[in-house]
Amino acid sequence: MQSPVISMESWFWCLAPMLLVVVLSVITYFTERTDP
Amino acid sequence: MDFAVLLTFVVYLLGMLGIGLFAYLRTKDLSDYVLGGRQLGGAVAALSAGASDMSGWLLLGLPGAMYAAGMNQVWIATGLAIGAYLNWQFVAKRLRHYTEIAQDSITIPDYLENRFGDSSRLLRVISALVILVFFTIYTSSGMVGGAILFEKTFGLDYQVALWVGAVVIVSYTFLGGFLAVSWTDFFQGILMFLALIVVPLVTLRQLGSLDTAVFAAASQDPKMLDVFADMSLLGIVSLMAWGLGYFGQPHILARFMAVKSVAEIPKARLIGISWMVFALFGSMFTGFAGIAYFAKAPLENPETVFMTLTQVLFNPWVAGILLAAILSAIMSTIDSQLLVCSSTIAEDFYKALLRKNAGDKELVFVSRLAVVSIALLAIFFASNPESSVLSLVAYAWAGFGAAFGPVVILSLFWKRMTRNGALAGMVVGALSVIVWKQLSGGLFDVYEILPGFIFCTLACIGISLLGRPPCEEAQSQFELFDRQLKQGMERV
Repeated sequence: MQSPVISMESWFWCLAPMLLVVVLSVITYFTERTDP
Repeated sequence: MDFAVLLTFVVYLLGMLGIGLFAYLRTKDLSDYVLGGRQLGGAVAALSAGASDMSGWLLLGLPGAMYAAGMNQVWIATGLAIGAYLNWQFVAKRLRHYTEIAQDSITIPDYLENRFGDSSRLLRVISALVILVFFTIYTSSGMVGGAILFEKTFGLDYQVALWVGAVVIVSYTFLGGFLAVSWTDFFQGILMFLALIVVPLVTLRQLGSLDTAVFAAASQDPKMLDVFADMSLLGIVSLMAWGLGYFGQPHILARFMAVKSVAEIPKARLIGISWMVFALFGSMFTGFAGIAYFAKAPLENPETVFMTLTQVLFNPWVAGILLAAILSAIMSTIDSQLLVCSSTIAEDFYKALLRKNAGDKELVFVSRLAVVSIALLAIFFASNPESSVLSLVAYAWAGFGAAFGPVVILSLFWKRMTRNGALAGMVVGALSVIVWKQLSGGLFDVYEILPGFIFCTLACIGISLLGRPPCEEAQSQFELFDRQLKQGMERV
């Protein structure tokens, strides 16, 4: 049987973009908030 | 029927009616009724957009898919999160600002007509008709979901359940319009969020550790842990393409238009995207934890995984609140779509075509009448859940996304876009979705929103460039909009 831990690594490819959009929202919140 | 669950449901429904009454007292004119007078704070706009976007799918469909098929179902959630973020990032500010500059447009058809200076009324009428037809069916389909939930939870007769749910939704929408819908969506969004955090965490605690869940899934089928299992590239692209739908959903775009100022949008975006991503994670993990929890006695219907976990793991009072989250997900979508239909009738047909000089009281009255009329029509369709009319809902997400999405985006970014370009784009986008859906095999298995979106974009650009440039007025309006946005001005 394939090791669950190894196959779990493939989750990264789809879950990382979801976390990335949260991080981008945080960054743009601080950068755009300071706009005049 | 469990008394505690029933009482929790009744309190929840009364709470929604209370919000409707509160909003009623603050609704004075059509702009209040349709767009809350453009006074929504960032948090309410964010959660309201999220809750009205996520239907019962978030608590029933997605956990069910995860429970039945495993991790390869995450691609749709990934696509949706990216699509929602891009919509907030690139469309929200511009649409908020442009709709105010374009003669204070309060609906999408209204905006399109004013953006392109279309005196023929074609853009308004065609887009309004598309909205009316599909949202009536969308509303109806949501009512079917709500009635089935009532039927299963309380053993109520389907028809009785349908009317109970509909009467509550119609009452608060009728009374308080957009403010009621947004505020109820806000509380419903909080309830959904809490439920999607609490249920998977408590399930995990019962299982002992994350490893238990992972090994249980692996022992059932190792492929359940692999996001690429049984997935072709086309399959992944297809699932992620769902995210394109956001750019053209009128009930979500209405939230952008209703935010009280452009300056609120970064906050709304942060709250909205965080809410969505954590809710999606919670939903997926609920399904995933369900694999381990129900390993010995698998569920007959995977979509009941969230519902069954709440009933098994919590006392009836808490279970009642958590089950109300499912109802929240369904109601928050129905009420928003109902209101978009109502505003389309009042603003785009009644005021624009029949009574140009209608006063605010008259227009609010027409809107309220429209809420009731559309709801009755939706109840009529929903009274027969097997009705073939309801199957049209399968076209709605892709149809709106492909017909309106590129038109809205290009209209906000491209000065050279013309009325004919927008019209051609809408027609080509909608037709592509309908035709593509009838075909199958190879490339035609791709979710129809993708070809629809591409063809709509090409049609918008091609027809705009082939024709004469937009009229002077439309161009100077665009320049004013662009200049003001760059200067960071919030009000015209």
